[in-house]
Amino acid sequence: MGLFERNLPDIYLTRLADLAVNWGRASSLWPMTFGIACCAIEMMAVGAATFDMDRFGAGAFRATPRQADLMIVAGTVNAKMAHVVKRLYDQMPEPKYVMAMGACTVGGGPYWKHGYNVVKGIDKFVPVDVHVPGCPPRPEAIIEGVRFLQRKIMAKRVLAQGVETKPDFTGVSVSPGTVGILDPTVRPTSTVYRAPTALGFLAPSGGRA
Amino acid sequence: MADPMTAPAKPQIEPAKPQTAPARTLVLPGDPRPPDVHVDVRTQELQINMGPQHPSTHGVLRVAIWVDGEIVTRAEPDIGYLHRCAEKIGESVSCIQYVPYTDRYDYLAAMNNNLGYCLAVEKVAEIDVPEKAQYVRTVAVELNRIGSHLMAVGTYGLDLGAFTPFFYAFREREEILRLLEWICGARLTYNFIRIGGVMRDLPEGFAADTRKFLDLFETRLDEFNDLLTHNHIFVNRTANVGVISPDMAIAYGLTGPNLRGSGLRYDLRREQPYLLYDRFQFDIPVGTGIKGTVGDCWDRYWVRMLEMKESVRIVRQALDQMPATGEIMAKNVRHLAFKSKPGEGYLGIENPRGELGYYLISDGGANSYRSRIRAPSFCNLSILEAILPGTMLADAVAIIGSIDIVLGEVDR
Amino acid sequence: MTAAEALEQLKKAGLGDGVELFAGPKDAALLVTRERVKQLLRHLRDSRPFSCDLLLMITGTHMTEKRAPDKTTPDGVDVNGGVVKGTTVKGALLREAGFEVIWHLRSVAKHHLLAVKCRLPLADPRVDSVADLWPAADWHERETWDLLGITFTGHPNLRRILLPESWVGHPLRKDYVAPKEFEGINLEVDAPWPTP
Repeated sequence: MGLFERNLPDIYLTRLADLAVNWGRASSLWPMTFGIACCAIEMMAVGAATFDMDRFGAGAFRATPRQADLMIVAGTVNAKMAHVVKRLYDQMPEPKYVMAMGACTVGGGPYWKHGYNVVKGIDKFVPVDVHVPGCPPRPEAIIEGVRFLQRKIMAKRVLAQGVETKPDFTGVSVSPGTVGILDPTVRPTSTVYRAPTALGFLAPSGGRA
Repeated sequence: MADPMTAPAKPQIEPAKPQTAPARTLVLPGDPRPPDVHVDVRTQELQINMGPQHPSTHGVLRVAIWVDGEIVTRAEPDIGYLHRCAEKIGESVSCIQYVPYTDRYDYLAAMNNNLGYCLAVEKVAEIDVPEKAQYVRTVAVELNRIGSHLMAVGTYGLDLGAFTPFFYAFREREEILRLLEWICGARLTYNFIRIGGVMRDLPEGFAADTRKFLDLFETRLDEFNDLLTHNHIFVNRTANVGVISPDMAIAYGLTGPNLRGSGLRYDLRREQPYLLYDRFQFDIPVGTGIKGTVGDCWDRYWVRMLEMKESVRIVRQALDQMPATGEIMAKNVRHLAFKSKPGEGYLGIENPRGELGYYLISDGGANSYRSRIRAPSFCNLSILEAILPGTMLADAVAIIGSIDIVLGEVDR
Repeated sequence: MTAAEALEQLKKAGLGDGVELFAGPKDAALLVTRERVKQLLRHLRDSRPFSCDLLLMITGTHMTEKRAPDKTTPDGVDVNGGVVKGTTVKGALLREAGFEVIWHLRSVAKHHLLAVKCRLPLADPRVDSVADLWPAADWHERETWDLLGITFTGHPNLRRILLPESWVGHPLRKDYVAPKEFEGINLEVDAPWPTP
């Protein structure tokens, strides 16, 4: 927002403008196609028909960092890859967000002890907005991570001065992560997520449709 | 005019020399010499970089490609962007603890990786697996093979610009994942096959549901053939592209569908039956060059399509033959205080990508002294340096996709 | 074809000297001195009874010295890989320090698997490259060099393949210490995890 960024008086009008800008940003997150390891397969599954991340406005996967504003780091980052990840992050235009997907990017995952080559958490070199744990996280967990990020974006100040409020996470349930259905009598079915209404982020009670 | 597809590779482009005579682009009547077209369009060698962030390298493969115009003159794969210290971990954790790690190397065929490792440990530690567990393993492994091939053909369409087949492939794949989730609770990294048997028995109603799915799946394979296999654009992009001769395939250590795509009927399930594969009737499809030459990209793709049908047959037979009750875990395995006998051994199984081998040395402790993974993708990828030169740049994507690599396994 | 049969065949062909049988528990292998490696592998590839045309893998192992403990032990492994039953002499050498390189060959036509093994001294791990016999050997030898530091003489392009070019050390050696940092990237774990 250039010159005016967080430089205007904190009045109702600028707050309303912030709301409009944030709503635009949150509702059309363009993730970058950037699969590294196992998590990339679940990221593809999110983009495919069954889970369909397009319903949440985050399904336009771009192949280049120049067109993307959400970097989903899906998989183990090692010493050779870390420089590439950093460069891709630097190539993305502002505003940009990073989702650390999977245990490896959160804190090294299974490789935290004996992985001589593995970076134990990507927050050592890029700022992370959302951590999605799991090995790999289920597609539902990724969707939930995106919805957490959307809440976070909604709480940002763009034009108005002042202290940022804490994001409102009500209405977003904490999924059990990778814990699958362990009752052998129950056949797993995919969870049906209903998309929030168009102004779902604005509603104080969350985006439950 | 020479076909650019069959033009010999030029390893090094020499700097342009000053021409003494003007280039001949016209042929005078009576002159037997062909026109010198190369002089007319002078090009310069250019190095381009494909990956590690590229949508059609199936992960973090980086290929440095030198092109002359549109023709690749040299290609050099650069791997290691996903090196996760597999073999060091294999020495550092106990055999029981290592099974979940094997899931993460070939994450598209995690069941097969579990199986390969468990069979190798069972061979070294001398463990006999009960019959029922072997049938359960067969069902799980073959379902996983279908899922892996679906991913391969679905994303292969995606690489070549066909978006719709990807969604069709993922629709079936989700159904398989749901079946596998039902038996072990995970979608991708199963840790279902354990040393000495399997984690638990198949749930009630699994066989009926699987049969229902298989019936549906066979009709949907035909649908997929209409969508992609015989699609005119797809055939033009893949037939006669990236031809690998059988001799070359063997010299580069290719195995699995890539070797069979070159016309060699070689499948470890038949040559060296592990599990109970000698009890099942199934064919080994090979590439026959229906659309072009034997060993081209289309053949490798087609072998995978046919293999899915064979896997369907195997799963049906395994479900039919499976005893209703029985042990699913060997008696003599002490999981909490596991100690292998001293010894060393190599065991190879037929993974969806080729021969997956584990070479283990044990000196009598809980950990392996050395655990080496013979990853099929690693060996299959090394042929890229040899077949890319001389092809068009756009075909590089088609060739890489047809080899079907998983980078987790290449880099380990 | 087992390794014992292969050795008989080799002796018949007059190539038996320098080759012995590694009859450890489980898989047997042909144990060969390092001067003879390339000649033997070429013979195994070209001669008709073997026709081992598919090179499965090349790998190495860092063997640390192993001595018998003070008290009576269960079965241990001796220098040749055989099992020592029952009591061992106190402080007896069970395994020499050094490197082992193993080549696994498969014959597509004859359906057999052969393993060829070679022992190298710790100070000078160097063996002939077979990259000109099998193009497949190229990457395997590079990987063995990268992770274990075994030099393959005659390899056209022996440099690191999995780790970055400027990496220090060979991780699969048993005395390897993992680095704390690599080119500005911190490789340490943030805080110790709670131990149960």
